[in-house]
Amino acid sequence: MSLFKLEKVSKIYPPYFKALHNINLRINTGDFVLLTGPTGAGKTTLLKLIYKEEIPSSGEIFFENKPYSELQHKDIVKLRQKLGIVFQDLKLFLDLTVYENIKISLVLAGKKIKNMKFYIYEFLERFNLAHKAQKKVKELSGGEQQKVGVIRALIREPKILIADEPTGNLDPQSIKEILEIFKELNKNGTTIILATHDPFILKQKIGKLIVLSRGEIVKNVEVSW
Amino acid sequence: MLRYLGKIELKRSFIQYSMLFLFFIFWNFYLLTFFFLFVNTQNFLSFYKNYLWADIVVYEKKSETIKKLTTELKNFEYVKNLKIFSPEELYQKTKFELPSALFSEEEILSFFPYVIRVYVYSVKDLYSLKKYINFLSSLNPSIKLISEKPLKIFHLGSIFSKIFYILIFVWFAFYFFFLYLINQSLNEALKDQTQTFLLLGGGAFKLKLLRNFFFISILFIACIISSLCYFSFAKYMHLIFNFFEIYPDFSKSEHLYYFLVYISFVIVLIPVITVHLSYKKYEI
Repeated sequence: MSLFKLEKVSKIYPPYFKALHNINLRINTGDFVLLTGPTGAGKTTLLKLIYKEEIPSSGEIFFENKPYSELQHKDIVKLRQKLGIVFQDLKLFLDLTVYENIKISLVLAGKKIKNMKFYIYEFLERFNLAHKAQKKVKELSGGEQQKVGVIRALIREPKILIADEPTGNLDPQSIKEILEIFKELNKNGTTIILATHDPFILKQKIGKLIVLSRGEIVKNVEVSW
Repeated sequence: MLRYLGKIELKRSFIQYSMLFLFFIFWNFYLLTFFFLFVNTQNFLSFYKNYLWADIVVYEKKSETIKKLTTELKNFEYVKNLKIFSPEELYQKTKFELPSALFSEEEILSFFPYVIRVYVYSVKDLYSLKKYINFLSSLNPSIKLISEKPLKIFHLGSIFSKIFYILIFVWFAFYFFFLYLINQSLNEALKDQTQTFLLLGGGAFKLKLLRNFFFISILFIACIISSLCYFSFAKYMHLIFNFFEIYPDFSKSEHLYYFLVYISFVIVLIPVITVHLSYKKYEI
């Protein structure tokens, strides 16, 4: 089933910067999409269009065959509640603690968990961050902040996971662990869209590989794993 | 969750909220003071409206002349009422002050003229009447007008009441504009937080609710402080100038009602509208 469909989508940032040009793309439920390309190729813009942080300059995006332009505010909220997003710039609440950041994400996803505190601490423990739960995010290192960003997205058990360079500040061991979690989630039915230019991840032959260059798709291949 | 968002909002926007607090104390105080001066000026004007009159002295004793003059005066639109004082009435009013031993009553009576007291509607009418009587005086020297110059404050009062409406409009427009600016500044300061919250699946309604809660609470506290300052000022003015009355007078139910309407307009309605308008640009 088609989850996201992009039809002739272009994005121009004023005055003339063409971030994306005439993109046609289809992402199905359960896909594992690896989005890659050099810096400035348009990976982040493409993801921003999918989670509707940006609006296309032309073309149309469909979610479950419904055009974005016809979605109402409440529909957009519902769509975002289904997503788990790891932002490139992390977008963490720096003045709040690790625990509070994760709790907000869980609450906004509409998850009803009996012992939320225990659940969050359990997750943090998996990433060796339980001892930093009550620390303010701004007091953490770059790698730790990145982990919090990943945990915040994963703990929602999303149907769709969008991750923009989620491993940029992480050590090889952490990258391996996160990738394993992503694979596991995908096996259980989660659609994953991962933008990266990490050679380790790209070496793994996972799902669909989309290569972007100067705002255009130059390669769109299915890789079995 | 609102608690967490509130924590961020207060931490990041302390300056803006402090500015709002101080601004409202001054804004509300000056508005109430304007209103105080306006209402008291209006009272003053309506009080003096009943005392807008001029006396026409007629030394001629012929009743025909008096009749003719009064009929003519009654025909003028600006004449509200007339009162004629005969020489006898005037004598009765002043006889105790006169040296009766020197003159007989008849002699004294012969000194007294007829006085026609003409009540008019406005200061402008008083000038029209003056013009007409001066014209009559030039034809008949036995007719004269005695009128005090209208009080300057009366003039100023009528000008002030006109200025007041413009001032109130400008003052409210200023308030609306300031609140919008504060909101814009808050939105800029909290842009990242707002975007993250929305992208994680939060609704703008909750953010607006939180902002409205902060606005209403801060304005409410500022309103209490500035109102207390105003009432002390009004009381002080009342002590110095007896004719100044304190408004609103909460012992009167309609005053209380109007004040509540004002409070809900200024503390609830305008902030809610500005919060809603300012958020439009930041909703993604």
